[in-house]
Amino acid sequence: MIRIAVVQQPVNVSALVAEAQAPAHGAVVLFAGVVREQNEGRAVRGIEYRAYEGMARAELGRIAEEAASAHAVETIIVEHRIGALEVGDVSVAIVAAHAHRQPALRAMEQVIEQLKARVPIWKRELYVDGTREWVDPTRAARAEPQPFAVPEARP
Amino acid sequence: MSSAHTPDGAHHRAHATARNTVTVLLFARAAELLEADQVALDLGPGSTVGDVERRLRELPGGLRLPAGSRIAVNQQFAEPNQPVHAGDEVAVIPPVAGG
Repeated sequence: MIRIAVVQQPVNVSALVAEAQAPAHGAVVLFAGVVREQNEGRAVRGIEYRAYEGMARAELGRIAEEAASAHAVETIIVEHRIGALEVGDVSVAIVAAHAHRQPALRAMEQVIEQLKARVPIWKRELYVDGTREWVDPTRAARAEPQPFAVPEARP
Repeated sequence: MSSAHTPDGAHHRAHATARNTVTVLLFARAAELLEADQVALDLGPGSTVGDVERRLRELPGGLRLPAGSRIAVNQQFAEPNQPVHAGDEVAVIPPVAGG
């Protein structure tokens, strides 16, 4: 069972774990991404998440299918929340279940790494000092600021 | 993808006198820099993702689009040589930051 969702309401992680539980599953792995109180030395009050929702769902579906296929894991659930979140809120939850822990752990890790690289969701951090800024995880690694110029190698 | 629409040279172009207008969706910093949620581009027949990128850079604010931005066509990341047809859902994807 693969289930993908982009949601506005709080993510209920225990409900997702329960959803993945089954007599055949000796391992249920949960990753929860949580809004943190600081980033790069700046005090964060909250994060606003925006998505290209149709493509985000499509890309999450492709990512989950790839991870399921790569690790022979049949149960993967991904929920990503969008909208205005506060420190401590869960922004994303990934659950993978399998008879044994290693395939479940690896599938979960592949999903979160690919999600961060490929899924069209953006966050704007709201700082305690009242300013706000879009987060660009790739900016530090880039020398030449040219839009579209350098096709990036993706795993 | 969309192999049914692959332009096959002369036959296609002979009938392509109508304009090829494509709406490009903008998100996050790309939307802020271009001050719009979408822009309409009139493309010539046989245009590609690379042509879309060039036209976007020519818009006011276009050169400041975030490095590492990519183009998606019909909700999939696209390469510069991919054809773009009227009616395709085209989008600028600035560097993503989900999770």
